[in-house]
Amino acid sequence: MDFISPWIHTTEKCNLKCHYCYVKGNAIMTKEVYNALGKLLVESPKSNKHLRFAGGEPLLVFDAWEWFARDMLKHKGVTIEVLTNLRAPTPHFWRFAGLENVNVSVSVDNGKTVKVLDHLLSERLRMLRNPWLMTTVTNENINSLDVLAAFVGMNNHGWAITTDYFEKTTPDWETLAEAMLGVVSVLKEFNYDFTKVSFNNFSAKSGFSGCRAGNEMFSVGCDGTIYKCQTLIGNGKGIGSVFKGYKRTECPIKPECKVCSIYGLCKGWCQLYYKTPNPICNVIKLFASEVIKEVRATHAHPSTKSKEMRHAE
Amino acid sequence: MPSDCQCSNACDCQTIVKTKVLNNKEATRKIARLEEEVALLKYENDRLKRASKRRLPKKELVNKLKKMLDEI
Repeated sequence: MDFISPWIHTTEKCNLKCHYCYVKGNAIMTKEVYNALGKLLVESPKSNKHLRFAGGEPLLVFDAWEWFARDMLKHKGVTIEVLTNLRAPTPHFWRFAGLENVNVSVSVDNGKTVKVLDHLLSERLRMLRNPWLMTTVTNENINSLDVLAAFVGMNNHGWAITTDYFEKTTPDWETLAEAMLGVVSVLKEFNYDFTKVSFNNFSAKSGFSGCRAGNEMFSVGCDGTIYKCQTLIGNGKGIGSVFKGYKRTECPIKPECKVCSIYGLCKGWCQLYYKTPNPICNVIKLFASEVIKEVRATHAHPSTKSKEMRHAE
Repeated sequence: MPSDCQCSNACDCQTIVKTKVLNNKEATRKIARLEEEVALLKYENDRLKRASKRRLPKKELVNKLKKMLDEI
């Protein structure tokens, strides 16, 4: 695979307290770490370098990494993604977000207490070019997922839906299945482009890699330690550092995943935490089946797409 | 694709791409198997059967959404 994609843990600080979050601490990535990471990336033979600026909340420390991001954008094949809750944007950030090869992905759960979809957030989303939404489905927001789906459908946003990595807040699979079938039903009402939605890494989109943690994808902690996955930062053993490089460490795919009917489409979701057999796989299958039907139908009859959608494309 | 766990559309990945989902023989066989599994799941579970037939009221949802977004 001709890409490299570091998760850059700009800070451990956050302005929210999501009940399912695994990040702890207050550290901020230093200039030395950015410099070493930049060198590592520039020297990489990979043609595509997709930098994911995350945290914590990366916009709390935007000033600490903007220079690095702008510097990296001068190199060929570099694209940037900012994973943010968009609750603390600065005027500088809006200018940065408008740059070519910068994409912003926004966490919106529409839960009762965190990452609520409200007027302010909706206005901010309008200011971004083609933002993507990221939603963690938990017991807290499962009943408001349909309204969020209407918002996504109405705006034809890209949408990555996941359950939480540790399955502590995940609803039972039948409740989740009902909600996800509801999501499909709502999106259909808006003639949604179903290649733009994913659930636990199932996606009918082209150019889908599945999780490549420890390989092309790795995570850089605030101190420069490289981990397989962002969930291991501060907790697990590193596989290297930005100063010395890293040893590629495969997350082996489970044998039962390899023979599954959706393996080519979800690539085993999360090989670190996902236990198998897992009833949530039933939900992925149900969702995948519906989404594939929609993608096929759109492909067979492209004229069924709404005028608005064609305009958006 | 936004993503903690996927590569973006900027990347040239080897995978079952959209065209393959639609045309490739192996993918078609896989999808047929998936559809069989899903049909069985629904057959065995009334809740899922009902959920897959349910159409959510678009107007009602849009009104709910508008009300929610108007609250400042």
